[in-house]
Amino acid sequence: MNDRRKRELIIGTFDAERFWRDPNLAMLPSFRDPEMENVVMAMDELLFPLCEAEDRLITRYRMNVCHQSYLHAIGFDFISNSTDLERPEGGNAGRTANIFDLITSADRMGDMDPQWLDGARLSPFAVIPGADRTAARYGLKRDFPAIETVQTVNSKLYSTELNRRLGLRSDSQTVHSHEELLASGLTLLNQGPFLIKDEFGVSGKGNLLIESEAILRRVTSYLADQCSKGRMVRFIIEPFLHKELDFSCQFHIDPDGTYRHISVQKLVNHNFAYQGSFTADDRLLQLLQEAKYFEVMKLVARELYQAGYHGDVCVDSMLLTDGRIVPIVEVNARRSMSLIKHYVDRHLEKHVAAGSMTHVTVQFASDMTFDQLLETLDREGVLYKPDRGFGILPLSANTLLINKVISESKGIRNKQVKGRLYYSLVEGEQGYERLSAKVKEVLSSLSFKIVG
Amino acid sequence: MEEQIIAMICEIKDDAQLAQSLNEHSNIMEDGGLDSLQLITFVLKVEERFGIEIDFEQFDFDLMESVATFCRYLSELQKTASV
Repeated sequence: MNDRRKRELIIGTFDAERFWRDPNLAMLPSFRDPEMENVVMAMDELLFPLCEAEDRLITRYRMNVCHQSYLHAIGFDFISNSTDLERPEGGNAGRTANIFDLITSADRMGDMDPQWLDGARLSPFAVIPGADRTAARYGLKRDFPAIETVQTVNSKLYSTELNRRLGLRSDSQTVHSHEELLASGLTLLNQGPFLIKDEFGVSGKGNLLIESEAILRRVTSYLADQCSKGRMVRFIIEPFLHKELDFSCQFHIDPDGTYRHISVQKLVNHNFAYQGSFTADDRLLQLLQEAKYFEVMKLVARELYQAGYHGDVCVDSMLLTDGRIVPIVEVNARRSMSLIKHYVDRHLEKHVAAGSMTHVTVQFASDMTFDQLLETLDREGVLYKPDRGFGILPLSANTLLINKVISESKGIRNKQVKGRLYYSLVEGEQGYERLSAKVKEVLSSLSFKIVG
Repeated sequence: MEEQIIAMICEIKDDAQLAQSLNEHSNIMEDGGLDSLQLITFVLKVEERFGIEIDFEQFDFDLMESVATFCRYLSELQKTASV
């Protein structure tokens, strides 16, 4: 299916939208969460399922050795760097420098053999500034589109416009000033709550639900302050729709424009934040077929290709409580968590298993190592192994432990820190609820307090 | 005020049962389990309910260490606002 050459160099930054966003745009009220920012910076380890034999994965922080050994033991074939590109406690610099900046400024790619790099193909999670520079600097082959194109098609303005161009029903509108936001927002509020969306917001960030005039006025006054300091206002507003289900469609556009369907994943969200991906069932697929949803996806691919984009795409969609399907909520012209899940599923299929992908956010102060976590999960009979046929397959380790590492490198011990464990839950005959509860029980027994 | 704050946390978390485990000593972020997006919704609702304005940029997260601490902060803001 995929016309892949022998060696790919897989690299990614998961908060790509941050590097596409115009810094002169005004921002919705938000609070920074430095610990979660550290978790996001460690997420590139989640790219290992995209690797095939001979491929290399470069991560900002070297992958946890025990985690890597476990993944190799259950059949994932990849090699990754064994040194950090950046010291974990140097995270503040990392918030402005993406992984490509680190690679090009350090003039080295971890402990990667320069000879191996010659002729390898750069395969980024998302095309962000610096990807082309990295390819040029290391003599890597590249066939990704221009950054300006990728930036354009990932904007929510593009998704809004695309709905119009394809003649799809859309209640979204773009506002270009705080005065316009207030006027249009008051009109929308007459019908009910509405959403303000940042042009480059990601799920969980950059969306604000407005339920009252007082809050709308507070937000517009906050934006007016930013305008007085020279920022531009540009947001998408739309009525809050009552959803039955969030789902997404993954497809690939080949360099010659050929559309290749990959998968449909149901997303379980809670308060706009991603909770997990589950493979679409036959009922949903049939519903989508009947609604000619996949015809729309092909049209999206055609439009993206005409705009100059090719590569992986994840289109976020919704099924509303009244049965209506909203095919294009947002176009993500990049790889995605759902695509990673699809690749994990492909691996599991070889062992006649299937999984769903999810995560837990925890707080902890203990000195638990990842090795101890794996051991305990195994002892309790819930660590996934092909011969066991069910269990939790941890997809990340650094995202769980990064804030502990940072805290300890600053000489602070026993500090309560936040971490996140991403995993695939391979049900087998155990049942999702039972297995999920057991995993959470094991985490709690290890002094991880589950907070999300 | 503390009961109102706890009720607002439960409303945002969409979890009525949460009220049973929260009290004046509860940490709003950790025990209430608010993430950064839920926190902004919470703060906007608090502003609306108590007629105050909170500085998003200068906000001190230590004020969330307990419901009681946060309520004392809100009372101070209310006094300042009424001057």
